[in-house]
Amino acid sequence: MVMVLPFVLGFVAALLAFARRRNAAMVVALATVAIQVWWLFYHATDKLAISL
Amino acid sequence: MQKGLDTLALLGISGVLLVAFYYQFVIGELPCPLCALQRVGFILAGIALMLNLRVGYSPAHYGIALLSAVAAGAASLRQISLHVIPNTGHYGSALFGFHFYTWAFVGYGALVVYIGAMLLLAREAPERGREAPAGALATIACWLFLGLCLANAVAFFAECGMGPCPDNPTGYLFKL
Repeated sequence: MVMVLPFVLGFVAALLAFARRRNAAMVVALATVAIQVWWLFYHATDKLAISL
Repeated sequence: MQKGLDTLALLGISGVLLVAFYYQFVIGELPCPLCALQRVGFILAGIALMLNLRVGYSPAHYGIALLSAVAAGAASLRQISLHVIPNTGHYGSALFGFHFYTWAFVGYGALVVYIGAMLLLAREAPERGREAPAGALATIACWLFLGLCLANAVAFFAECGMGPCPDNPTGYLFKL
């Protein structure tokens, strides 16, 4: 699991949005949401230290 | 009015990310994996608002913010549930009596209400590109948010490298 991946994709999506590349920004943002949900599923089901 | 409110909301999200950076770099509290997912939620919401400001309003933009708010809200609820039982400790500092994962949950709730209100109040979506251009404040808000997105990517790379973040982070993998 690459934790930095949604942040890199988020930055790319923000960059595309800033450059008014709407469709590309939407695709990358949706990919980021998918990874966010994937990581969330991992962290909602794994054995986390209780101090988290 | 919509662009003005979206600008204020984008500045608010940037403010949240700045507070998170203050606690990370000044107070020295490193974000945990669940904290990271909550930050991603704010970043995605900001991207949706920035799309509204840069290319014009679309319900699809709010859809992205809504999906990410639900996912990030679930992450904060997961973290709240880890500490809701007495004597199970907490993670990080409290601000005005609540920990950041609780504030994040409140923030996503507010975001959902904001999106609902904007969708209710919005007129028919105008043809993109035929709207009045965003003002100077919106441009500043977009630049600030863009910088914070880059800073988050760099900060999390420094903390976690190309792998998962530790459950209880104590330092950075890479330091300047």
